[in-house]
Amino acid sequence: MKYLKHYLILAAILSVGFGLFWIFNYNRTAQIWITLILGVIYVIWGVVHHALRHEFHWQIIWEYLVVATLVSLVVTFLLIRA
Amino acid sequence: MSLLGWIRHLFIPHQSNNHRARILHPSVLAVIVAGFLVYQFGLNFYLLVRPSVLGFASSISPERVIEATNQKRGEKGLAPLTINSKLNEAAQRKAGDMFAFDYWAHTSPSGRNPWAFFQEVGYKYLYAGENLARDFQDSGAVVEAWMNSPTHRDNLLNPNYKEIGLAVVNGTLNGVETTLVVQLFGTPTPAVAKAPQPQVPAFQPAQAPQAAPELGEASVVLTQAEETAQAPSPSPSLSPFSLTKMMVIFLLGLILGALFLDALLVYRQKVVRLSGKNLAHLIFVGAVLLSAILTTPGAIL
Repeated sequence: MKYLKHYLILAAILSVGFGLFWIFNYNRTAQIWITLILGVIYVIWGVVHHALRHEFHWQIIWEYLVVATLVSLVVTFLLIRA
Repeated sequence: MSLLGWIRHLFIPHQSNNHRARILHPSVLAVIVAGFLVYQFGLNFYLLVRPSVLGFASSISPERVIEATNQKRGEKGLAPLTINSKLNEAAQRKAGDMFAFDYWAHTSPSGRNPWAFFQEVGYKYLYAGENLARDFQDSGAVVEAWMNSPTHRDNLLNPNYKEIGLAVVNGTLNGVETTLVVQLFGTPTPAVAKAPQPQVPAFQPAQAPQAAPELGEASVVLTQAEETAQAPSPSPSLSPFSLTKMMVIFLLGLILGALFLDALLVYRQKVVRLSGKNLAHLIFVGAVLLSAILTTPGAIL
């Protein structure tokens, strides 16, 4: 896979985020921040990845933005309810 | 469009959806976001009009919390804490006050700090502290959560503390059936220490000055605590947390499944299209779904 390195970087970032999420278990404020920051990083990853592939289109960035918003939002509500 | 056609349009990349499962289109995802928000506001509204219907069921035993606390102290070579009845009573009053005035904090909205409850029950201390927890499933989880938090762990393993008092009280907080755990720690002043101490449950400390007690609704608080302290959990089967968690797992699982199916079919059909990368979405949504599944209820303060 030509862009394997990109995906490994994404997987590494998410693994660190997952680890921090676990370390800060029951610290809901920290967990919400971790979730929101991961959402922002994911959008940035999408922008950089597609820019390097010369596929930068607002339609694609919009997709990453909506996916990150959906995922961050539902987990934030879950943490607030916990 | 028939139901089958609609499902295909929603999940199968096809000409009708521009070779991208319709559910993965940003516009549909935005509708899902809006739907989730409506669901959450609906849940809040339901809690407002039908308080106490939803809640959290737990099986926390004060004795086991104290036992686990002393076990953690023992592992660090610290002396076990002895149960003090006054500290137990102060913990009960604190829990009752939290339910009566509907707050989740160390200091009540009226400004009463934790040390006011020590003084109300006549417990004179050199050192004192408080740990709070809510909505945990069992006693061990409460103590583990405190141990995972540096500030709570410092409290729990503080060698200055000699006595403990604890209250596990069921009630309604913010419209939701809740189990509160109040753990108070204390070291009595020398004069008090000479007096015989009845062996009753105790609670946990935090450094605090000997502030003047602020007496107010003490009798009301005590009544509330007495009413709720001994009651077993009403064990409602559904809580706002469990309802939200079910919805989160359903939504993320649905999107994950659609992503996987879309990726598989597009790869097989060798479709070239302009869209985000399914593999990236799969990794991201998968990691978050796992986090959501592992999230358990409970909060400490």
